Amino acid sequence: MGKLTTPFNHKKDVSINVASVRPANTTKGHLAKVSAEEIKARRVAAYRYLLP
Amino acid sequence: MFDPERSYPYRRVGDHSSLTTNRKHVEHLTIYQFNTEKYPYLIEVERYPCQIYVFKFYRRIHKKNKQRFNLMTNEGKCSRIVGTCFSIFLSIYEKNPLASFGFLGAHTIDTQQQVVEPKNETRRFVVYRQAVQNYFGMNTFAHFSNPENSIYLAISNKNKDVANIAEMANTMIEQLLDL
Repeated sequence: MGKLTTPFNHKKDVSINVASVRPANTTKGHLAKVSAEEIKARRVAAYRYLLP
Repeated sequence: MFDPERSYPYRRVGDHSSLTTNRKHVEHLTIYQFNTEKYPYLIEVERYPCQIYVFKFYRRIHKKNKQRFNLMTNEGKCSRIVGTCFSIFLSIYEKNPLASFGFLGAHTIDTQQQVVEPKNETRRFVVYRQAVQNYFGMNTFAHFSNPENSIYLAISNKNKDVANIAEMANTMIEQLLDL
């Protein structure tokens, strides 16, 4: 399969071979608690909770 | 926008135990089907240990495609489809208040446009996270995210050991993603 480019990350034009595509990050991810402040900042208050 | 009241009518089309799914850590798999105006879709609901329910959906025609979660349908029905997932989760939560909701926002692979999206903080992850945070409050759920792998988990606060469940989920994620 041919080389693919990624338009999603505009920092640099990276060529990726689909056959061997791996996560852009190579660091080990970890589930971290989302703070109440972060949720409040991101949440659109107009929507009502399905569960409070 | 992602309101379950606007969800598509769905029906259960498959039930598989851990023996028949042959998927690591999955205790039970339930498959639902619904139809949009254009296409039939399937939703796979995987139950992991500690009552974690992970939702995955794709067009039924892509059922055998290994990249079924990565393909874009370009149908423009994301909000109603996610609302359908929420509707299914609510029906599970009604029966089991210990149920937690999880998803992985798959990265897009578009072979026609020759583009592939990195796996961290994917577009799907950003949209689904917004939807979960809009509709699932902090009184009922503790919210956890892993943007590096585009994973989100809302753990029911009815569980006594939320922190332990998150830690156990971390271990499972490491094993499943082979990190």
